[in-house]
Amino acid sequence: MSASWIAVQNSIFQKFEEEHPGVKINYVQLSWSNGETKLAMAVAGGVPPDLALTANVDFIKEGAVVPINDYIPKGYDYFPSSLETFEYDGKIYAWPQYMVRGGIIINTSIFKERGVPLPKDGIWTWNEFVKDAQQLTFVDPKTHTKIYGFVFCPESEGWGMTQIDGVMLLQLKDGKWIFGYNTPEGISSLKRLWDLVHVYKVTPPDVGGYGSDNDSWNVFTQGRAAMTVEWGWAIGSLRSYNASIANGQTKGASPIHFTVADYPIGKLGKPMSGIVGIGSWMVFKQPTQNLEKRKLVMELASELCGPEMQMSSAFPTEGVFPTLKSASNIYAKDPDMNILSRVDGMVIEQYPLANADKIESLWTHEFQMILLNQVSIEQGVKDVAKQIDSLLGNQ
Amino acid sequence: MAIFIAFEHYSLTKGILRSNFVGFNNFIRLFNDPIFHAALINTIIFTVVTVPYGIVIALILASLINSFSPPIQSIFRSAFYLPGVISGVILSMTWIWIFDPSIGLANMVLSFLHLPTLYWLHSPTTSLLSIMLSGMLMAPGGSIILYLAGMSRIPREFYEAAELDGATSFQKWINVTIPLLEPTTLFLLVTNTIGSFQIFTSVYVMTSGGPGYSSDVLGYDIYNRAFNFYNFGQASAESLVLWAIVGTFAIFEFRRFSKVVKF
Repeated sequence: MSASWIAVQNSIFQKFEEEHPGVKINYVQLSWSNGETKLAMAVAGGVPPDLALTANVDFIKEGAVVPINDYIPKGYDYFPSSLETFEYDGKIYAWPQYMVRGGIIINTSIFKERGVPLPKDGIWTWNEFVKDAQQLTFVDPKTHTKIYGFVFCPESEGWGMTQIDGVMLLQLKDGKWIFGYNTPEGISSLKRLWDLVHVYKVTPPDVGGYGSDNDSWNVFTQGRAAMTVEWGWAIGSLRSYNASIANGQTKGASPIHFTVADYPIGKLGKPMSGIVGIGSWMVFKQPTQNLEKRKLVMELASELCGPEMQMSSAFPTEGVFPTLKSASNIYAKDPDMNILSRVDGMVIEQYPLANADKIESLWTHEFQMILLNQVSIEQGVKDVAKQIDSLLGNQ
Repeated sequence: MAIFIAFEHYSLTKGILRSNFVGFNNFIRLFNDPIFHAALINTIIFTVVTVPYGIVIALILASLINSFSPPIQSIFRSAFYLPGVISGVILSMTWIWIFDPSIGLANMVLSFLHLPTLYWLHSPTTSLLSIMLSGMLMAPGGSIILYLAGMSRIPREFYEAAELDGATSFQKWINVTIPLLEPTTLFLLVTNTIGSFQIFTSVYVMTSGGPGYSSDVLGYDIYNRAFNFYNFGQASAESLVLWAIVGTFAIFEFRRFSKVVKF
């Protein structure tokens, strides 16, 4: 997390310690790349922390965490979806702190250079989006570099766009989780993305081979694509980059002028924003149960996930969104972030299923092969459906 | 610990002693998993290509360096060994830039030679090749050092005797140098085979095993199962399988080639 986030968090810790003499909070910051692994090893080793920022539903299935239902303060108005993600058998097992949302990030300089108007108020239809992408795909006469209208990666940032047609990787049907793309609607929605690469040719042809959103982000920030789909952190990152150029910290670089738009309107008939998931805090069971300590830990968690944190300056810096309805207007005066927060979205990457990560990995690898035209959409979906259904059947 | 966990449906909260025993279930699931098959085949291809290449190149380079005076040898020894002390992650990130299809050095060279450019890391047909090239295009510094050490111990009299028989430099290399370096070659064959079967860093950084599973290898697959999917049982089973494969290769190489090696 950013220095601003840590500063707000530390002030909450300090205030908590002052209000509870004798209580000392030992905060350990881990990296995003291996923090979850270290946490899992701590749990496996019988020395879990009292409280950790994690969305790993395996901890819920393993019985390693404590339900929070009885501890949620009465005035807290969490969005239902932020609680449902961690709900098992009527009990909620994680405190939702922030939402990660995303949309289409637009390089306004390229739009201006090509004379393409920006989508009004960030809203456009799929056909308008494709037409713009086609006009924004050209060879730069100065550098002879091919510039593409759109770039995405074959991870959830990319295939998550199918929500515009009401289709997701995993969907609830008659109370049972199914592989959402193994349906006629799913195939049809995936075809939209496939067409961008192979029919309209508005993306780099090797986009299916991208290993992560780092690849697509590099293409966008190097000015080789006019649009990309990314999460809210990208807005903060671009603002920081532009600020570092403006104040002379970064020399010899040009700022990236950008704005944000919603996902293009699909079969659902309304603009949407991607919700990749919920950042949450879980309270872990300890080898020796101390109910008084647990009460304090729950109180601390409620502070970390309460209005003071969610309405602080930390959220805009990090590019994340509140989970409390009463805090959801923090971006009223920020046009770019407001675009992402004002519309509905489906949770793309987080499911209350123990095998969700494995399913997502299986699908991402298959989607790579589909986009690279190594296998047809229908065959690719069929190839992976059996494995995914098998994993879903183990719930 | 891996031996126990490989036969369990390991639970984070229950630990080794209280997790459910599942017999050979993890192994059966593993052997029926197409991802494991892909990783195994890729790892074998990687080993079969890179190990002999590395040994031959090291032998040739060491032979060339050995012909120089000691001060010059030191310069070359340092130059060839230096990449070995650089972090594998940093090297892999450098190779990502080299293999970038649009702005990378590799495609610039191909374009300059009027050859078709490739998608390198982004194509299932070239992703494993890219991983192999990233290792092969760096001189095997450690192997060169060992060969130079071996060459320094070859008695001068053997070369003098060969010269008296009218041997050319190439004949001396073939008939004196290479046979007397067989202990070193055997050692490098076994250790490099063990090392190549454990390839991980470059795959983790450069391709994450993709596109598809075209560059997936056993080391990365074990890591994925354990630390991304928390399937410690199957990961442990796969690590035991890897251990068995490496052990088999090492024993085979020792038995096959040590017969001609006189210690």
